[in-house]
Amino acid sequence: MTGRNPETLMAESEENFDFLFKVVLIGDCGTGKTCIVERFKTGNYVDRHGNTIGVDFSMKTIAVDGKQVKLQIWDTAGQERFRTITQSYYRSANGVIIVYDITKRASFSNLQRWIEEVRRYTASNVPIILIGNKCDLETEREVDFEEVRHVSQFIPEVLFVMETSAKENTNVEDAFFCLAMELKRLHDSSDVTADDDDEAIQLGKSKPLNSCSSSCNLT
Amino acid sequence: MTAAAHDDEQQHALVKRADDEREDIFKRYELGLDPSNVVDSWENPTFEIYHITDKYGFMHDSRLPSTRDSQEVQRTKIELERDKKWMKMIAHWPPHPEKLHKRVYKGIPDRIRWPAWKRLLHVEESMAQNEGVYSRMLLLAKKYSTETRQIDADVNRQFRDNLAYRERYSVKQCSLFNVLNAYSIFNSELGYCQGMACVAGVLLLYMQEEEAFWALNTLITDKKYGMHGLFIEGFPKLTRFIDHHDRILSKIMRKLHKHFIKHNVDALLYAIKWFFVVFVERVPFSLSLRVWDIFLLDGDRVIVAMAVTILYLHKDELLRLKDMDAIIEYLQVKLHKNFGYNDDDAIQALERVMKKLKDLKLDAPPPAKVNEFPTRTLGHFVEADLEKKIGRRRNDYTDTEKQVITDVISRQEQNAIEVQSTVSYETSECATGDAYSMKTYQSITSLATSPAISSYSLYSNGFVVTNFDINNQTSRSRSQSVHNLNYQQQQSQLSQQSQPPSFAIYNEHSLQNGLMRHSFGGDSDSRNRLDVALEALQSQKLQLQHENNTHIIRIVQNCSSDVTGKQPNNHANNDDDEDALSEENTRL
Ligand SMILES: Nc1nc2c(ncn2[C@@H]2O[C@H](COP(=O)(O)OP(=O)(O)OP(=O)(O)O)[C@@H](O)[C@H]2O)c(=O)[nH]1
Ligand SMILES: [Mg+2]
Repeated sequence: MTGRNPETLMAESEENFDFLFKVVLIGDCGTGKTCIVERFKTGNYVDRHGNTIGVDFSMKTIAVDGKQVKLQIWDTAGQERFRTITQSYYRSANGVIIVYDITKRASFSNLQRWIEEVRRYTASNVPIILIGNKCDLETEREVDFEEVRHVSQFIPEVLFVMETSAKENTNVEDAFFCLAMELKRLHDSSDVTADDDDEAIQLGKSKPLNSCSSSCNLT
Repeated sequence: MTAAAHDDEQQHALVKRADDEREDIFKRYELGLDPSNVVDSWENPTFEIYHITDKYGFMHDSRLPSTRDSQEVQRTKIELERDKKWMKMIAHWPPHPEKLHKRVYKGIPDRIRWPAWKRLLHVEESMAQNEGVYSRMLLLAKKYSTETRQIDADVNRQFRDNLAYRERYSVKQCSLFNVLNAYSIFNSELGYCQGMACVAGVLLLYMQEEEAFWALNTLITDKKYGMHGLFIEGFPKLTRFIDHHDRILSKIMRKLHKHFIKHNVDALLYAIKWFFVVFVERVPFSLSLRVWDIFLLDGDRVIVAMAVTILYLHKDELLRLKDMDAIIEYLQVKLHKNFGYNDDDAIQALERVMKKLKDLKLDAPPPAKVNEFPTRTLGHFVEADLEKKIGRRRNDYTDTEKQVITDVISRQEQNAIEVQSTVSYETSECATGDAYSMKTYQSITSLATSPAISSYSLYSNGFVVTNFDINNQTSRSRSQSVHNLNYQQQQSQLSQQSQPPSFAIYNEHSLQNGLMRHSFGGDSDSRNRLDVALEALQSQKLQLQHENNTHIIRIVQNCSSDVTGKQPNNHANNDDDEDALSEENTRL
C-alpha cells in the first residue's frame, strides 16, 4: 500500500485552491473504482489492495485553466448492501463518476440502476460521467463502446463516456480532468447571468489514447 | 411470442448466464494451482526478491524498521517460553479465567494461536456437532450460491501481499473461496458481505478450511461477537456501535470530537473498517492479531475500547492535522504502516481504556436488538430470488434499508448542526482581510461539499443560510456562513417529504434555467454572496414560523444560545478537562 508521511500531509493540507468539488465514484464491485482513484491520486497501480468497505476518501488538486481545482473524491463500496450508507454521500456531490467494467456485461447492465440511484439521491442534473474501465483487456471485452455511447445519449445527465485502464494508466487523468473542467465551467457560467445551454455542455477536447476509444463528446 | 413469454425467456437466459459463470469460477478454484489453470500474468502481483517477508507472511516494500526487527526477535524469545505454558493450559481447558485473561493480554504466542483460537471459538465442539454439514454446504454453494462472483472478486484482492494468498488460486485462496461460499448458503440470511473475506482470511492464516468455517460461524452468530449484526443488510450493529463511539468521544475526548466535527470527519468514515474486520489493515498486522486475541476472549466490547485507544494514543497528532484528507489518511494509511507505539504499549493502553470505560459505565453499547441475530435456521437452504440470481441491483428498498437511510441522514444532519457552532466559532476567530476571506471561503466550501450540510440542500434551493449571529452587528458578515448550493428543486422523494424552509434565499441565477450549477465562488465573490444573502436575509426578517422543520429550528436555537451565552452542549465544558482518561494513564 502506498502511504505518505505526515509531514507531506501537513504541507498539502495548507495548500490553497480556487475551487473545491466533490466527486463520488460509484459502480459495481470490482469494476476498478479504487484502482482508478489510486492511479489518479498517487500515479501508482496497486491491484492488491482490499475491497472498499463503506466509503474511502481522498483529495487531489489539479490545475484547470490556471486555477487550482481541488477534487474531493469519495470512493464507495460497490456491494449493494452498502448502498444505504454510500447514498448519503451522493447527496452533496458536484459530480458523479459511474464505473463499469468492459469485461463484465453485468456491470454495464446495472448502469441504469446506478443512474436511478443517483437521481434519487443527488440534486437534480448533477453531471455524471461514465467510465468503462479495464480497457486493457480487449480480448475479454463484453461491452462495446459504441453501445454505451448510444445508450448514454438518452441519459441527459451524462456528460461523456470514456474508456480507461487503471492498470495501463489510460485516460484516468483525462477523465478527472474533463470532469473538473466541466465542473469549473459550470461554476463559471453560473456567475454569468446570461447562460447558453449549448455552450454549457461543450467540453475540452480529449485525445484517444492507445487502443482505447475515448470520447469527451457530449450527448 | 407474448411480451411476458419474451421476458421469461430473457430472464431465463440471464439466470443461465449467472449459473454458468458461477460454475466456471468454481472450476477454477477446484483446479487451484494445477498448471492447466492458466492465470494471466497480471493476475499475480509482482513481488521482487528483495521484498521482506515478516513472520506472518506479509511482504513489505522495503526492509522493516530495525526497531521492529529487534522487537520481533525479543518477542520470539519470550514466546518460546510462553509456548510451553500455553500448551499445558490448552491441554487442561478451561483454564482459570484470571490466568487466561493475563496470558491473552500478554499476547497469544503465534504458534499457539491455532489451538488457542480454536478453543476460544469452540471450533472442535461445533465440528463434532455438525459433522458433514460443511461439505454439504459447499456442494449446495456450488450449485446455488448467488455470491460467488462477489466472493471471487474479493478473494482476488484479499491479503495479496501475504505469501499464503499471494498466488492466484493458491491453497489458501481456494480455502477462503470455499469457506465464504459455503457460509453464504449456511447463513442464507446474511449471505456474503464485504469484510467477511478479511475476517475469514485471518482465521485461515491459522486454521484449516473447515475449522475456519466454524470459527467464522461463532464470530458471526455467537452473542459475544455478534458479527451477524455488523454484516447484515442495514448494519444495525454498526449503527449502534458508532453511536456509542460518538457518545464516548463526546464524553471523554471532547476536544478531538469537536475537531473531527469541524473537519467533517464522521466516525462512519473510519470506524466501519475498524469494526467490520476488527482493525486488520488499519493497524500493523502484529498489533491487530493482539487485538484479535483479546477480542476472541472478551468479545465485542474490545472493539469499542480499541477504537477509543487508537484515537486516544494519537490525539495530539490528530489535533494537529487541519483537514479531513489528512485526518482520514492518518487513520487509514499511516497507522497501518506505523502505529508509533509498540504492540505491548498499545495493548496496555487498551487494557487501561477498557478499565476506564467500565468505570464510566461506557464499556458496553446499549443491548442488541433482535435483528442483529439470524432469524432463519442456520444450514437451512433457501432459494434466492431472481434479482439475486442474476446479480442485478435491486430497485426497491426494503423497510430496513429505508430506515437505515433515514438514520444515516439524520445522523449527518445532527453533525451538521454541530458544525454550525464550530464554524461560527472559527470564523469569529479569524482575522480580517485576505486571511479572513480565504478562511471564510474555505469554511463555505467545506460546508458546501460536506455530506453533513447537504441535508439542507435537499429542502432548499440556492442560498442556504447556515448560521447567523443576530447580536453581533459588526461582525455579522463574518460570522455568517452562507452557503450557496444552487440546487434545483429536488425531484427525489426526500425533498417531497418536507417544504423548503422559509428563510432559504433563492439565488436568482439558479432559477433561470434548467441547467444545474454548483457554484462555490472565489474569495471576492463569496464575500459578495455573503452581502447579497445578508440583505435578502434582513428583508425576509427571518420568519421562522415553519415549525414543522425541526432541523432548522434547532440551528436557530443553537445560534441564539450562542448569543445569550448559553452554549450548546459541546461548548459547555472547557476542553481542558476533557480527559476522563486520567493523568497517570497518559504516560505511555
Ligand atoms: N486488467 C485490469 N484490471 C483492473 C483494472 N482496474 C482494476 N483492475 C482489477 O480489478 C480488481 C478490482 O478493482 P478495485 O479497484 O478494487 O474495484 P472496486 O470498484 O473498487 O471494487 P469495490 O471496492 O468492491 O466496489 C483489482 O483487483 C484489479 O486487479 C484495469 O484497468 N485493468
Ligand atoms: Mg473499491
